[in-house]
Amino acid sequence: MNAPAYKFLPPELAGRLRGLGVSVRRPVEGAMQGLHRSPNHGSSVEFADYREYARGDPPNSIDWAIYARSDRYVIRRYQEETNVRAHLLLDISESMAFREAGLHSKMDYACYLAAALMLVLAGQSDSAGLTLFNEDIRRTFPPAGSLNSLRPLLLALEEIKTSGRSQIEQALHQTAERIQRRSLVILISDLLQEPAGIIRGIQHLRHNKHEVLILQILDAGEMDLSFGGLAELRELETGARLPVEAGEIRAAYAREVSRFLDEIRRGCAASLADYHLIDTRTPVEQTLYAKFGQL
Amino acid sequence: MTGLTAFNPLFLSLLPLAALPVLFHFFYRLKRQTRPFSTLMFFHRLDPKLNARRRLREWLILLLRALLIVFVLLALARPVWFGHGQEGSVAVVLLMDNSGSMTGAGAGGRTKLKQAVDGARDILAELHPADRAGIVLLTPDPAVTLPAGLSQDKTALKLALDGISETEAGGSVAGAMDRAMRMLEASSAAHREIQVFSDLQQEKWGQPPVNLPAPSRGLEVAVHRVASPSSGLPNVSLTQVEMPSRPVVTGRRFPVQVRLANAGPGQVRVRLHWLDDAGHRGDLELAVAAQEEKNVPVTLAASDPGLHWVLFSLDGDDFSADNRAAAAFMAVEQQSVVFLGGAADFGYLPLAMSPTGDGRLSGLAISFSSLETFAADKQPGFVALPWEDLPRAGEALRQFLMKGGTALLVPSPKAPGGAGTKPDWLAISPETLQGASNGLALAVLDKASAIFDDMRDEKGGVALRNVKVFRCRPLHLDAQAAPLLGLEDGSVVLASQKVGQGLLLASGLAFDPAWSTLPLKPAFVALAQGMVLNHAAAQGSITSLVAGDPLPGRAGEADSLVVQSLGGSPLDWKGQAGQLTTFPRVGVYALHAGRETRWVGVRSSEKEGRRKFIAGDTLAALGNLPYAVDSLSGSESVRSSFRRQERSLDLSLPALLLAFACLALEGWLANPQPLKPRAAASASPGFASAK
Repeated sequence: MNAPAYKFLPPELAGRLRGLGVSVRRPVEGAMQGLHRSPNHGSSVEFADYREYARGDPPNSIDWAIYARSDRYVIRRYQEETNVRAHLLLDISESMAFREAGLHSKMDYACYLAAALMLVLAGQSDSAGLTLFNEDIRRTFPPAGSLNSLRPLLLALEEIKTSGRSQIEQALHQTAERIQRRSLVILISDLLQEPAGIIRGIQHLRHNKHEVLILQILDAGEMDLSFGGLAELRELETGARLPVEAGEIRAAYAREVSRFLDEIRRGCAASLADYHLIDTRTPVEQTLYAKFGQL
Repeated sequence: MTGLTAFNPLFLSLLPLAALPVLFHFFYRLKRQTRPFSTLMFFHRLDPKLNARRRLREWLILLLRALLIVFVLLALARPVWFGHGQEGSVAVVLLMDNSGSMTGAGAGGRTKLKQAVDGARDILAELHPADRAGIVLLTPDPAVTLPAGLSQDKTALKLALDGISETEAGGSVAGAMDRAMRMLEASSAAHREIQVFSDLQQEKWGQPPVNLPAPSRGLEVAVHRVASPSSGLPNVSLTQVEMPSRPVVTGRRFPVQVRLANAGPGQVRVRLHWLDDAGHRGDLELAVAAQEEKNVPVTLAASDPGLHWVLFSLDGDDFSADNRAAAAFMAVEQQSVVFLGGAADFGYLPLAMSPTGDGRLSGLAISFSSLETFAADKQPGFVALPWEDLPRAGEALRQFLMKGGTALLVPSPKAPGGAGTKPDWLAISPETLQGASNGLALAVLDKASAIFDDMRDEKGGVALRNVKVFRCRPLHLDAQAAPLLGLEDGSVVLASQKVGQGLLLASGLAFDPAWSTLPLKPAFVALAQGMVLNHAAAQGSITSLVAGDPLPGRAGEADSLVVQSLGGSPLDWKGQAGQLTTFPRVGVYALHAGRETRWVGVRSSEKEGRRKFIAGDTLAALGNLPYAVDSLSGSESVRSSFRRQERSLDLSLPALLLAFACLALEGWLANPQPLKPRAAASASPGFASAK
C-alpha cells in the first residue's frame, strides 16, 4: 500500500530527507530510545547501530575507525541513548501569510519545514508534537514517533488558515509550563514582535531545561523594501495603514530590520538557543540540508 | 481710490483653481493601491511619528501647492495697494474731455469743461517739483497749444489748460488713451497715472474700445465724472446739410436741404439761420415735433464762379454744440447753349432752358447761330441742332463731341424730315414720323441718368406727371447707345451716346405741344436744363466732415500743410499734415499742401447732443484698463484722491517671491532626504533582559 501523499510532505521531498538528523546539544529526557544522550547515565552500554554524524554531536562520539575506513563521520549508538521529544511551535498569525519575493508564503514555507522536521525526527526514533498558535494556542498534538502517528499532524498542517495576531512570548510561556519533561522545542515563526518578549519566552523554556531551536522565516520583501515610490501599507495582523515613500525610508528600514535580527540573534545566543534565519527564497530542502545536514 | 486694485482682474477670477491640488490629492488617493504588508513594526521602530509626520508633510505640500497657484495668479493680476507704501515721483497725464457734450451746463451754471479744467488745475497744484504732467485732449484741437510730452513746468501746463475751449466734435476714447499711454511710456516715474475729466457721455464712453492698447505696468486710470444736470429743455440737432450733387451754376438758384432732428420728448420751436460767403443772411422759424427728423429746404445762389460757403446755425434749443454746420460748394460759370438753327426748329426748348435768354434765372445763356458758323474748333459747350442738319454738320460735330462737348439732335417740329445719311460714328438713327391720336404715355427708361436729377422726388424716383406723346420719330439704337425716355409701346424717343469725351443726346420727339404734352409740364424745364448741366464740371475738391472725424485722404504725413479758415470758427494752422487729425469746430477751411488746395466743410457732431451719461462705475470704452471712477465734487476730492494714489505698493513682486518660496518649499518637502537610521541603542531591552 502506498503511503498517503501530504501537501507539505510530498514524496520527492520525503525521499531526499534521508540522512538528515536533528540533534540536541544537551541531554534530554526520553522514555524511548533515541540518538540523544540521556541524563540518566544507565547501565547499558550495548552497541545498537551507527548513524551519520549530526551537528551538535560530541566529536568524541565519532567512530574514528569507521572514518578511517570509509571517510564518513558516524557515531555509534548505544542502547542507553534516549529518544527526543520535540515540540514544534508553529506561528499561524496573519503575518505568516505574507509573500512577496519568496517561493512560498511564510506559512507554507513553515509548514514544509515543520513536516520535514517531524519526518526527520520520527525517522531517527524521536517523536514530534505540534502546537499551532497565534494570540493563543489553537491546537496541540502530542508527540508522535512514526510516520503513521504523524498523520494527524501532517493533515493539521494542511488545514491551517492564518489568522489573528501572534503572541509568541505567551505561546512560549504556556509551552514551558505545559511540557513537564525536558524536550526539544522548535519555534517556527517570523518573530515579528519586539525581541524582548520573545527572548523572555525562550529564557523560560531554557530555565525549564528545554532545548530550544528557533527558525525565523522571513520573506526577502520584508527584509528589504522591494517597491518604489509612495505606497500605503496595510499591516496584515492589525489592518493598520501607513503611507510611506519607499525611496525615503528604504535604507533606514533595512538597517532597522538588520538591527532587529541582530537583537534576536544575540538574545538567542545569550539564552543558549539555536537560531536560524530562513529566507523563503531558498528552497525548503536546501534550507534543511544547510541547517541540518550535508548535501 | 484706495485699497487693493488688480490690474488684470481676470486672473483673480481664476483663484478657485487653487483647490486643484486638493482635488488631485483626493483623486489619486482614491486610485492609490494599498499594499498588504506583514508588519509595520519596523516603520514604527524607525520613527514612531512617521505616519503623523507624513500626513503633516502631505498637507503642507498641498497647502504650498495651493498657495503657489494663488500667488502666481495674484502676481499675474498685478495687484497694487493704493494709499500704502512709498511715495515716489508721479507722471500724470490729464486727459481732458473737450468734446461737444462738455459744452453743456454743469453744476453751478458753468460749463462742464470749465469744471473739468478746474479739477485738472487742482491736480497740477498737488504736483511736487519732481513730478511731471502732460495734457491730452479727447478731441485733438489744433487751436490749443499743449506742452510736448510730460513737463515739469506747471505754469506752462496751467496756461495750456486755460487755453482749452469747447468744441463741437466727438472724440475717440481709445485714441486719447493711446496718446496718453504713449506719453507715459517715456517716463521713469514710480507712479504713472491718467487723470480723466469727463462727463462720461454714453455715446463715447459706453462703447467697447477698438484697438485700445494694453496698459503698461503700473498704470492707473482715475476718472473724474463731471456731473450733467438735466435742464428739462429739449434739444434739436442739425444733422445734415445736403448740397446739390451737380455743380452750382453762377446765377442759378439751387436748393439745399438742411436736416434737423429732435430726439427729445416735446416739440421745439427753433430758428434756423444761414449766412453765406457773400454776406447774405436768412432765417426761418420752425417747429420740430418730438422724435421728428425734418428736412428744411433753403434756396441759395452764387453770384460768381469759384468756391462759396454757407454757414447754418440753430438757436432756441437747450444745447448749442450740435447746432451748426458749414457747407462749401463750387460754382461754375454760366453755361452757354447754342442752337444751330432758328427758334422755330426747337419748339419750347430755348424758353425752357433760359426764360430770359441771358441766364439770369437758369444760369444758361442761349444763342442762335447758323450751321455754317459751327466749327470743329469750338470750345466744348452745349449745341442743339435739328436732325435734318446732321448730314451737313458731319465731321465738325464729331470733333466737337470728341473734345468734350454736348450736342442735342432734335426733329424740327415744323417740317420733320429724314436725317439723311447717318454718319458711321453715330449709333442712333430716327425712323419715320409716327402718330398716335390718343397719345402714348412717356416713360423714363434710365432712372439713374443724371439728366433727371432735378426731377427726382424724395424717394429718388423720376416724376414725369402723365406726359402724352402724339407724334414722334422712334429712335433706332445700336449697342453703343443708351435709351433714356421711351413710349409705352416700347419705342425709344430720347437716347444718349458717348462720343470721345463728349455726349450726344438724340431725341425723336420735337419739344412742341403738337408732338407731346411734355413742354407743358413743369418737369420739362428740369429735363431741358438737366441735359445741359449734366455735363458741366466743377474744378476743385471739397470734403464734408463731421467735427472730430478723421480727415480722409490726407497728404503725406510729413508734408507741409497750411490750413486757412474761410468761414465759421477760425483756425489758421501750419505744420506737418500728420499732426492735423481732425477739425474740432464748425467752419470752412482751405487746406494748402504744396500746389494742391482742398476745401473742407465741417458740421457739428449731432451725437454730442445726446443726453445719456454713464452713472455707474463701468466704462466699456476703457476695456481692461485699470480704472476707477469718482465724482468730481470739488477740489478737496480731487486732491485727496490724487495724493492717495501717489502712495502705492505694488504687490506683484512680493506675490511672485512668495510663489517662488512656495515652489522651493514644496520641492524640498516633496523630495525629502532619505530617513537617517536611528542611533543604535546602548543595549536592546531583550538583550538586556537576557543578561
